[in-house]
Amino acid sequence: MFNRDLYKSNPPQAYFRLTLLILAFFLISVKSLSQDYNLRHFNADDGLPQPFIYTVSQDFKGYLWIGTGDGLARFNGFEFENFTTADSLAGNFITCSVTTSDRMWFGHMNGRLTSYDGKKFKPLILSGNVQGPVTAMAVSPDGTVWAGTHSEGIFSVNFNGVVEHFPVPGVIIKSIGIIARNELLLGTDDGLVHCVLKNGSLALQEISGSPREKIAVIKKKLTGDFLIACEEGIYEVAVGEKFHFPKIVTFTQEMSGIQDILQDQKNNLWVCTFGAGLVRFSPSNGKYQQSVYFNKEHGGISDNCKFIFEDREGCLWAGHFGEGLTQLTPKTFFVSPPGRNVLSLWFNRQYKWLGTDSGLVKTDREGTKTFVQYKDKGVPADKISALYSPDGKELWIGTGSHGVYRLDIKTDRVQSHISGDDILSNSINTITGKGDEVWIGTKKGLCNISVKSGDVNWYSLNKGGLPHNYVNAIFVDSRNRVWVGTRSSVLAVIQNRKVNKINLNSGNGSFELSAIAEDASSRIWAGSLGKGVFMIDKSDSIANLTSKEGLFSDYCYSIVSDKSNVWVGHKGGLTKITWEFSVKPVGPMDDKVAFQFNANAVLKDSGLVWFGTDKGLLLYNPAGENLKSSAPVLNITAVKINDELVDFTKEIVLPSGNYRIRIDYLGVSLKNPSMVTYQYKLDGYEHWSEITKSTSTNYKSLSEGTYTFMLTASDGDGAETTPPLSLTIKIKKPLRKHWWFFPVLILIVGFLVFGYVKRREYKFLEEKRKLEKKVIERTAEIETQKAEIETQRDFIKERNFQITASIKYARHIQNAILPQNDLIYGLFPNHFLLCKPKDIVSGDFFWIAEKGSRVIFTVADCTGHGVPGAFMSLLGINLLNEIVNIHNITKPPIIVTRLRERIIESLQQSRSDSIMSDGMDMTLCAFDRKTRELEITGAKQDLLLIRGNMREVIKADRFAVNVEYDTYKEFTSQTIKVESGDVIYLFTDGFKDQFGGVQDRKFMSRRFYQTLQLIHHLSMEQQKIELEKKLLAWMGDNEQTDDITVLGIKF
Amino acid sequence: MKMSRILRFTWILFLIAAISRVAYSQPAPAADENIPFLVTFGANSKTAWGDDDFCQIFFCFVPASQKAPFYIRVYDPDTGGEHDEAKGDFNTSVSFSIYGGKGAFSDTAAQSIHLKGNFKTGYLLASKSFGADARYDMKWYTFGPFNPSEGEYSELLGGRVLKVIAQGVSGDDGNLYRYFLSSSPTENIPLEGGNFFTYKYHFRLSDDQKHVSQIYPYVDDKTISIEISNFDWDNDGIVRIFSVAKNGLKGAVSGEDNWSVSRFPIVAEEKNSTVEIQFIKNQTQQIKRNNVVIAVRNQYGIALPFFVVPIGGVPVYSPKIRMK
Repeated sequence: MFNRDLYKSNPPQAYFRLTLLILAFFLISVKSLSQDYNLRHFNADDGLPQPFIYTVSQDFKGYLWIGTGDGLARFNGFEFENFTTADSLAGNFITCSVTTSDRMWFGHMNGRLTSYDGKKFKPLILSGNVQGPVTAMAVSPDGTVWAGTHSEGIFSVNFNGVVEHFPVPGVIIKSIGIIARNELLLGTDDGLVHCVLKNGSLALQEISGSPREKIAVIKKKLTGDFLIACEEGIYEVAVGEKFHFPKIVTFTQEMSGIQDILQDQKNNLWVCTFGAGLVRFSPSNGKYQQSVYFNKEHGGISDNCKFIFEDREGCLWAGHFGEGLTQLTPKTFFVSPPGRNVLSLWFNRQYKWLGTDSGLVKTDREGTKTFVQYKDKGVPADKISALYSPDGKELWIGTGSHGVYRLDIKTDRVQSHISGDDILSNSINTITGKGDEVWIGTKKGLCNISVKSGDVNWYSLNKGGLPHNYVNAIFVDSRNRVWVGTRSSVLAVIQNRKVNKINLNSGNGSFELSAIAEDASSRIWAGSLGKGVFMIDKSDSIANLTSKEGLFSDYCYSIVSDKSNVWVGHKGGLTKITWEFSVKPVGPMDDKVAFQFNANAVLKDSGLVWFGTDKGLLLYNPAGENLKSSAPVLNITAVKINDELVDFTKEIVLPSGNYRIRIDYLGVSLKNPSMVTYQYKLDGYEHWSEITKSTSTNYKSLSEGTYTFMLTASDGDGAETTPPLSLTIKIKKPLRKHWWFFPVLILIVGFLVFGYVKRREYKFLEEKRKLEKKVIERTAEIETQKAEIETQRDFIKERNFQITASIKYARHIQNAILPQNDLIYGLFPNHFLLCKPKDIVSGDFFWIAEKGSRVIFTVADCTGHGVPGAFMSLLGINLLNEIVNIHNITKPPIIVTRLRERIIESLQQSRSDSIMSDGMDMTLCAFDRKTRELEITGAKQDLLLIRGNMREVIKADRFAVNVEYDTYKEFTSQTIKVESGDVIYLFTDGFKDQFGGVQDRKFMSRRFYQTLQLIHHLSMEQQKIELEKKLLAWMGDNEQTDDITVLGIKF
Repeated sequence: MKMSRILRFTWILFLIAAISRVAYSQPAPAADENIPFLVTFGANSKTAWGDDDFCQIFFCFVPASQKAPFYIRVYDPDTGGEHDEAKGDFNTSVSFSIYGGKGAFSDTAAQSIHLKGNFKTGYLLASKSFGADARYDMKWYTFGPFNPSEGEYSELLGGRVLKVIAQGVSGDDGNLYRYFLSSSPTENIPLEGGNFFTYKYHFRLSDDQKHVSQIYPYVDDKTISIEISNFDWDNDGIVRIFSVAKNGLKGAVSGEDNWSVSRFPIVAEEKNSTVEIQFIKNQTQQIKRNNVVIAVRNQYGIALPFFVVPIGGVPVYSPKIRMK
């Protein structure tokens, strides 16, 4: 290493070399972990609460639980979910854990326990006196959990949660092993202690012969015996009447103590140490031999491994102390050193012969050292497409264009060369054989050579009836049938020298057959280029598997079967087909490299399968496969109904309606979580879904019904969960859809109606009662009122009678004052006087007086009718008597004027009186018997003259005999010469203003005048009768409107 | 100097630096203390040899920021070989135990000067006994790795504390050793923010008369006087006190197999600071292999801790200048 001479002659150079050497000494030679295991590492950056791992376990749902010094983590294959005291953990520092049939238990640094039933954490205080940590836990066959503490002894927690304490004074418990239900082994700081629970107390017994050192770990073997780990060694503990402690492992490496041990499914012994990392001991001839280190020196993560756990899928989990967690998955594929494109291969115990595209080479078994390049030995530097040895002594070498060479394996010498007539027949694709027969596939047909006799037989399109001359693959099966794959879709079978054909092409298009193999069940598998693989079973049924069924690719270049699988080589990967036709594509063996599997470059060797690829040799080791297949553990993780989370652990029953339902689920597979696939359905409503990797499904609108959601999952190896997981959701029917709804509705409506009617009836009756009561009350009231009214009526009647009697008497007085009929007859013999008072007494009056030759007469209508009118008439008559008879005034206008003055004076009317001043309308005439002149003065009352058949209205002054406020007017007069036969009529407005007739109107002046004109020729008596008839006929049912006075005088 | 020699010298330095790192801090005793070794005698020893109770308790402080594993290394843990003190043949076993968890620090039994009761409180994390074993003679033995969470949390100190007990199990020899708080199992790499402290120092004074050793008790704000007790000093020199307000006050020095006590008032400026206690060897008579014990208590009789890395640094006397 150090050249003194060099040092003396050239010190700098010497020191440089020395430095390099020392640096090389310090460089850690990396022994790659990827040789045997795929590694996956997790740390705090990946979600772990702390990189100090104390315990790893797995629950019945498949989740991995990792206890650290600062929290508990649950791993579902993709991510970590962390839990602390905020989630009801008894402490954040987890020291150990165990799993029972229905829950998990965690021990803490603070001396407490936590149980987890799949939903909630429940803390448990073992005892108020426990200050130190729970150092170990174990579960006995009856489900009792045993927890050892640092210095407070041991506790048991039974199935019902009852805690019992067994003090073990002066003993620091490090580990616990369960021998039987009431029998334990305790690992202490000072050896092993045997405990027997009897009559409620724990009897301790030192075990003679046990190592007197710290027993850090006790693990039970499958055989029932135990392994215990001491400071620097591992012992087996054979339990019996006497304990035996054979040492099976001794550590010679520097390390700080064994932390944990595990015997895996394959019987390897894994040892966790501080200082030397994780070490694997493999069984060999009944002993354990150290085989692999996982520590920093050998490319590992950490030198301090605290815990090792094997999950249900056979993956190992190494918990490091300060460096997180590592998952170790055994590798099944191994790649040999790169460089060569291996087209064909053959091995014996010592060497490998590899056919490349530039000749044949012979290497050592590791493939690292090339011994012979045969291009120097007569085998051309050509593509070596086929290698076959019928007996292990001779190797048949097929070349790309130089035919076949036969090589003596021992001497490495070419014995002979077989060539064809042309280049095609010298182009060898494949060589195989059985016994004495060798079969050579060329581009120009199939050649069969009998080694012993040397006979050669050719099969081609024209000879023997091969489907094609280009032979890709040949296989001799267990029944000595020769299967031939060519550049056609027809598979040929040669038996007894006869070629039979099986057409594998069921549809359009063409393809060629590229590889053939036979499995352990004597089924023939044929790989094709473009149509996947075909399987022909003993009954000649043909099945076809393509990429649709999961094949890596439809282009298959090689095919080989091992004990339990069929392997198909493609460009970029392999497909594994199990006996149950589970198809699993196996991706690139190396993340960075894609392999092209060469046609027919496969070899089975001592249980291993070798593939020739364009990147070298690829080894498949079936021992790396999991001994038992574990389907993913299915869990429903969340159910949302209308976007709200619901508790799906209880029965889901929803009221009627339409719901959006989302179901989240997860099939926990820690080995290959991304390869888990799912299928689901709503039982009874849909078929199974397409295979999917999605972990949730949505149903947009579900209405009433009972829905059973069924879910199944498969892992990357095709292991399927059975039975499927199911979740039932019930959505109630709306009421109206229940059979009883309408009858009940009708009943209810009926009741309601009945009730309504009854109520109405009741109310009605009540109302009626009230009304009747009211009626009675009112009737009584009315009776009372009636009596009162009758009393009043009688009173009024009496009074009325009295008043009427008074008025009737007043009429007598009025009549007495009015001129007598004798006087009128004496002065005017032809006259009639129609007087019809409206009431008993009248406001109209007639007056006549004789003064010399003059006769003064008037018809007047006083204001009002009845008693007031009668009073006015009395006043008028008295005043006329005074004016004419006493004051001898005979001129009509003067008389009327004087009359007005006297009325004003008598009634004390002044200009401040009301507008409705009392007075009278009148027609006053003065007839001079000598001159036969009639002087007429009218105060708002006309006079009608009928002479001959003509009528003439003598108009009166348009103001009455009363006070006038606006103007004072003088009354005027008109004088006419009366002729014989003239008839004059004086009248008040009573007749003209009478309502009646068909249209209930006033009689009116015109009709009155016409009537008088019509009857004027009758006698005065007759005229009066006619007028009365006319009046009555006109009035009908109407009452008399006013006093009526009509004076007719015929001259 | 020839080029080749320069190169050789440089290369050797490079190699030394590449291979190992010299411990500059967090050892106990600390380099600044100038104390060569800690000492613990076997259980059958005589106290006159310089160990009053054959038990030394140190506390190891790890700051809350520490997340990675750490190690407690012991130099020359065995009792035998060059450094250790033989009394006849080496027949002594000394156990080193490291405690964490609840009670490791908060339980004050381990903080008293005269150990009484159960001072082994807490959770035993690691333990090993050493007799005469050449494998560990003048070599480092590493305890650990330890998870910082395994220490007992002290809110006062702002981190976690582990307790290291070196106890003579049997024999009558003296075990001389040192500690180092390291982030590496194989090298002495100081832990950032880490510290060692003890309430009673058992150590070997330097044989060299020129050497001055010092220790640094921390005086809190509740201390109004301190009492310095020393055991079996064998009149080897003087003890002086330095602080921001004391400039070398002398303390009493014990003889053989006895205790002597000195009391000093603490003024306001000295509160919450470190006091330096110097040990100056006897200049007239060389006393070798002198093992001593020292402790400091406050007015309540409560022991004050000695931090190997003085809290607040080494005190510097600040004289008060009076103007006339």
